[in-house]
Amino acid sequence: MKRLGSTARSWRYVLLAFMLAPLLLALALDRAHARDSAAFDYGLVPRQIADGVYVLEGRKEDFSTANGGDIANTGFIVGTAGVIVIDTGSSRRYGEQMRVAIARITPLPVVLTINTHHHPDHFLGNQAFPPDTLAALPATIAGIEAEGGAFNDNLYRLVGDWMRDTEVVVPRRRLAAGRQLVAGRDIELLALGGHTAADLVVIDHVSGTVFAADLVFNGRAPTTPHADIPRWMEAIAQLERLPARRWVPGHGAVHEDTEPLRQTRAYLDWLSRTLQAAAESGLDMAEAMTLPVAAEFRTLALVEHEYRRSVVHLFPAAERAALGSR
Amino acid sequence: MHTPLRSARRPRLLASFAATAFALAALNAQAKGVSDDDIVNDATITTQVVTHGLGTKGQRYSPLDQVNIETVKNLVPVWSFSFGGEKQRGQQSQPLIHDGKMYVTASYSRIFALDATTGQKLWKYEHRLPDGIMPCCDVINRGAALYDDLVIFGTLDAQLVALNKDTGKVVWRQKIEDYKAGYSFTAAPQIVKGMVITGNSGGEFGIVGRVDARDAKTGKLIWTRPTVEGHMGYTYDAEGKPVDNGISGTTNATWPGDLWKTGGAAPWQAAYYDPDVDLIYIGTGNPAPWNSWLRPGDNLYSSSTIAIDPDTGKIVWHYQSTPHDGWDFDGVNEFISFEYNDPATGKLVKAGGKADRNGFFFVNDRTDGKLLNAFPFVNRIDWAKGIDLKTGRPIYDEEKRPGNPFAEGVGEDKKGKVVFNAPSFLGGKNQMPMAFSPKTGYFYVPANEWGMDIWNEPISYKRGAAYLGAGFTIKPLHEDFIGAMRAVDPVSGKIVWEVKNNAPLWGGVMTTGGDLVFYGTPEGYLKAIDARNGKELWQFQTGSGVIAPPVTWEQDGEQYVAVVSGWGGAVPLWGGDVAKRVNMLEQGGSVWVFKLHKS
Amino acid sequence: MKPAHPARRTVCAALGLACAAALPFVAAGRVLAAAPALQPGADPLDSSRWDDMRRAFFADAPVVFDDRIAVTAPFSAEDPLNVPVAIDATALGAVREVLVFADFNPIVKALRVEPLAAPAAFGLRLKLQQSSPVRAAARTADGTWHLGGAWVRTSGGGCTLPSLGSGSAEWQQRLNEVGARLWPGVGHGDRLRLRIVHPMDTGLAPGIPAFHIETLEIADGAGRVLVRAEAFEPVSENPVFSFDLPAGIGAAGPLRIRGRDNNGNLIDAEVRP
Repeated sequence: MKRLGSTARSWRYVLLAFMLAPLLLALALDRAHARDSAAFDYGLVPRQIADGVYVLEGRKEDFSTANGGDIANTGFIVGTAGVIVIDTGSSRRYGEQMRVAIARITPLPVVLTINTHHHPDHFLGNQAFPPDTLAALPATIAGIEAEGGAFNDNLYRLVGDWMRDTEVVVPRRRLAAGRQLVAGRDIELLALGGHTAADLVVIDHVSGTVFAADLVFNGRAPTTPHADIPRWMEAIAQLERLPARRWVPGHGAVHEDTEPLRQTRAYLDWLSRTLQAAAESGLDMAEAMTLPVAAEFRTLALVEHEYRRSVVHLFPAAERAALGSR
Repeated sequence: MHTPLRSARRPRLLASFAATAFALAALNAQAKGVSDDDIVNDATITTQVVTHGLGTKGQRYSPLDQVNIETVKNLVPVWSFSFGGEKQRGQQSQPLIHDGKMYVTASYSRIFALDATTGQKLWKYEHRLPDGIMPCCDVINRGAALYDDLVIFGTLDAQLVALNKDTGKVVWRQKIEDYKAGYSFTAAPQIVKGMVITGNSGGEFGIVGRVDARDAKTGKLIWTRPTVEGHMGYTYDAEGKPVDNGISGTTNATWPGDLWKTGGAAPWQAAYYDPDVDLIYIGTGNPAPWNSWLRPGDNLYSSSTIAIDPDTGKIVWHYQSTPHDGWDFDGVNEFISFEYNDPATGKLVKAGGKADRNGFFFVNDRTDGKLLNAFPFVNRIDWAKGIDLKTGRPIYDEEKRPGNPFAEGVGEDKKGKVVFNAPSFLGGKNQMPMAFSPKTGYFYVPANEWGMDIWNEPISYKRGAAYLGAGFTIKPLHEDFIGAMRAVDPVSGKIVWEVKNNAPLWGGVMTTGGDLVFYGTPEGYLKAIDARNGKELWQFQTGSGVIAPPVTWEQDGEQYVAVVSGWGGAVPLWGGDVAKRVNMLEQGGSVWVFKLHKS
Repeated sequence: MKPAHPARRTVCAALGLACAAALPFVAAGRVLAAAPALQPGADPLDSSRWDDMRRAFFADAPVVFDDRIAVTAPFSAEDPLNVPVAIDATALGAVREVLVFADFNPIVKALRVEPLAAPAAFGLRLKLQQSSPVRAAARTADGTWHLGGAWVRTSGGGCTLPSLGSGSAEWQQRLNEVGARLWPGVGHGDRLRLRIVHPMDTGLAPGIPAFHIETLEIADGAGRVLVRAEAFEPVSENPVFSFDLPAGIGAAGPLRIRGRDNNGNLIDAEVRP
């Protein structure tokens, strides 16, 4: 899940930004509304899904001033010597409230804070965690460096004052795939990709829990702004071979079997075939957007919306192929 | 053709002649410094221009009359100087003249010292700007200040730099504020009692407006005065430590919640000073954000003229021209000290005049701020039906405030009702300074006739990000003109004459003892107009749009006129439909100097 | 999205945002200007710019808002540099020309199409600077302009960002390269789709002059011009067009696509059925 914002960093673009002020400033939040609605309390309650393994389940919604960006799952694993955090949420406030929630469960220090990929609902809470514990795959670090500022700007527009004082903190520790003891816990990292250039999967071997990040969606339509669909489907195939006891998807409910993997793969398969077929049959992009979502996916949250976004992401390549244009 | 100079108006003429001749000879260490006397008497010392405004009162009146309604037809260029490089845009600088040298700033925080008679370059200083600067309205600079052997100017990354005026070497450098939070600086500093007085810019980024006084020779802070109610002002002890000097206003009296912490009200133009009443006058910008529904109350001291005691750093009086602004009507325009005889009592009134962004011309008692007169200087004003002279407050037309985006029934994108308003947010008059002639008693106001569609939207504060909560489209009101140079009688409130201009006027004005009004146009002309009747007498095409105020001085018995040329500024960036009227104009960067043809 | 194009990231920039407000896709029924034909002056899209638009494009000519001209566009623009728009004015009968424009773009006019010997149905992508009505105006033989349109929400930036092509040398090597294909029996007859490699620079990005395709003509095998189009700066980079052509149009031999940009570079391609 991600939202891009203007990456216009140079002053030149700031000038331009002003020219365009109406739009740049267009969205953002109803300050009064956000204040009244929540006092910016995400109401985070960690749910224990295995011994020492906790999940904070986000809503199956899009970013809004009502949900403050709490739309992705985060989690943590309590080892004998410390806590491993998996994703930090969408804002400084989220990160801070997550730390409070962790502290209610264990006095142990956070020793490793993982950003599974570079989408903003997964790393913008980094400010709340010790800087030297922040870690990610190298391509994720590069992605946060390149696009983090724009994501952050954008979330201010989408969820408003929930974002107060949120700044991008780029993880410095570079992770690699492999199995090792972390905080006394047997942890394995898989370096995959397809949802973005780098998607990190965290396996807790003792409990058989797999944090599958945004490679897996459950009951919510997958998002594709940085997607490489064949690579993504290959990654899911690889995950399906794992002897896991439970799956924590990036979005949607924790599940005991591989149904969310099957569902995600089936949707991606339908999506790419539909768009290829549309391009091959001479449809215009505007027409491709009006195609109906297949019946079996209509129960997925936000599927109409995500389908139309995906047309914009994926149709141009299918169209170039159909037109024989490089 | 040569009109003899009448030296009676120029008490320091002879001494100045000598100094000028001497300065021409050399760049050596014996160069003459700029004294406090030079500064407070700048309006009458015709051999120099050492202040922004041709005198700290900012009247932009020169008693020189060699160039006059008869002779101006013989005005010809003497030299022109290109600022060079690729930074050809947005030249808004008023040159300073001293000791035979011109000190002129240029876009992108550059300053040049030139020989005033030949245009030969003596030195230049280019400030190294970081990538993240956030000027709202182009990379402009409006000029420098001179004091002793220093020339002082501010930079787009919100720093003050003092250079040795003879060598161009940096003597001191001070940070005004953090550019990353949206602060910048574009105004000309003003010297008052040995202090360099500056404001700040960044009202579109939710900064906090503030006026600073520093020791001009060292750059050390003497006092600071925030222009948003609720913030503490400070004086500074010998070690440079801040000492509480009282909060501006009363916290939360005119601002709700913590909105005042990002309240804008940037005093982004030059300060002016009347030594007679010993007060500093400076205007403040719009409150932040633009969306006024988020900040019920008057939002002091936004959109105001404030008078500060230079010795204490405290606000002596304020007059808010647009309380609870909802249209980006900054109150930054210059408050110019002038005198007139009250028509009823015949008594001399110590007044000040200001042509506000909001379309009204205000006349206040400059000793206490009391409103004496207020009248429109543009053809159409929507947002208010008038100004109540008893209360000093506008009579709002509530239908003309952009609709509340938080009200029931607002659409899914939370855009409030669009309303049409004149003037547009670029103002009945903007940054371009007007002039006052004590000879005619008129103000010469570079006005613009335009309106806007404006609407409000939700917005959240993010440090260093634009903080408006509004959208807009500017529209011309007339097919044949936007700009109008107007002679305004501050006592009768009448427009005496006007000269229309197709493009919006964006340069400043100067008037002279020769009964002339000089101003530039975006079309590239420097023009001379008869100050009494508006008759156009002379014009010269400078090759790029003029958005800067002209100056004049005399040297070796000859009167010189100078203006900077180089299109840019806010209009092409913000102008909406107006941008179409100016998109044929080309950018540039040069200074032009003129004098009378002799034969 | 290829990581090799950092500029693309910038561009996508704006894209995610506007989609926040997930509303049903209004275009699903193809007819967006759902209101029945209205009286002149009452803009069903309630745009504050409408009076300016009418003055600029139609002067004193009769104008009606007419649901027989369908404009299909997304409710929100995921990528403001590539907003797909499909126009179908065939229900009006013979149409002399169709104008496509966006009220709030800094350059309002995007495309002018004369369906000389073809159905008045086509598709394009355009750049949007901010949320705006996207409109199509079709002039019928009696001189009346028939208007359809839809609001497209966007966070903007489309017109003043540099084109991707400007950032690489590729545009010059492949300039005006055409990829095209004719699909029999799609749309109102046969459908021609084509993609032209061109930066379509608006002149509004700093330091990059306006550089865009100006004219495009599609002729049948006998040399008869079927569609003539005039393109303006807001058309997307590497534009992709769809044009509906008479059924069986390929029978007379390959179609010819010809045109030029404002620098005089020529476009010339053949499409074999």
